[in-house]
Amino acid sequence: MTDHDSDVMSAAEMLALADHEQRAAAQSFVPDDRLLYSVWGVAWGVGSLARWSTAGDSPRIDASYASGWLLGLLLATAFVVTVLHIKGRVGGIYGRSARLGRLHGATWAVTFTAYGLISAGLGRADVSYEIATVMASVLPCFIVGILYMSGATLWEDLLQFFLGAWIVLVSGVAVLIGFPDHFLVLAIGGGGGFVVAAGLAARRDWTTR
Amino acid sequence: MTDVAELDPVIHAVVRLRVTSILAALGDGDSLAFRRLQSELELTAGNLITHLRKLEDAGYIVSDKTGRGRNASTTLALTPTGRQAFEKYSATLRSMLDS
Repeated sequence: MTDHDSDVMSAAEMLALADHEQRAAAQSFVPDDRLLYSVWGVAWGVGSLARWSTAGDSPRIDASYASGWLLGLLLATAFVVTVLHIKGRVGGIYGRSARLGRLHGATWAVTFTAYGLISAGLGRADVSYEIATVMASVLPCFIVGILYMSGATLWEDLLQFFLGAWIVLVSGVAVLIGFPDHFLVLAIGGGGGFVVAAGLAARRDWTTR
Repeated sequence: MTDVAELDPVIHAVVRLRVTSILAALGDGDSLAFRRLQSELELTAGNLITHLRKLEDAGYIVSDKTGRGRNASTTLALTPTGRQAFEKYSATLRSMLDS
């Protein structure tokens, strides 16, 4: 393209081009909430449902070990998808947003390292299997909710704030319900919450297009 | 009546309009790596550099070097003058269409 391209484009076409580039760029510089919420919704929903189906004294399906691996695999997949997606979207952006993003990313890393230590501690502590399982499965949900709310204040994202608040409340209810039905609360409330948020994000993106 | 001659000639070229539009979409205090801008525009480096030089000469963008060795990268950002010029250019186009 040369300088002369502008000679053959009308004012309306140049304005449309500017609007299109700005909108497309603004979208490509931020992670796609529709994708991320969907991936986590499916991982948490399906994984927790599998755990619920296989947990307790008289499980619906006798495959507790396999369901634990399935939940772990789904969450690990969601984590990898998230990291790769965010890396692709924010790669090449420097300055204030990148600094905030790095600090927020470090907050997730430090918090989940501490979660690993807490889980290990629960495994060694003199607490029942039921209590250790409830805490180990609810705590990451609780952490994610709080980090979503704090992230929402950084990016001024109201949907992310409400999703975080919902997840934190679901975590509280799950502990109140207790083992093994807390898995069902996490599946429907946590996984379902993410899926609903993905739908709301799609609607928001569509209306602002 | 607004005339085409009133449009800023530095921005009034397809590539430079696309560059300023993309850089204007960045948040305050942010800049974009040359390679990312190049992939967004799907242009050759030589072609892009020619247009970037015109924008830089006009004081509309600023370039900076970050990192060292293999991690070295040139970053680009709109200056306040560039942002103002882009907003004025868009406003002029709108008034041309309204009149």
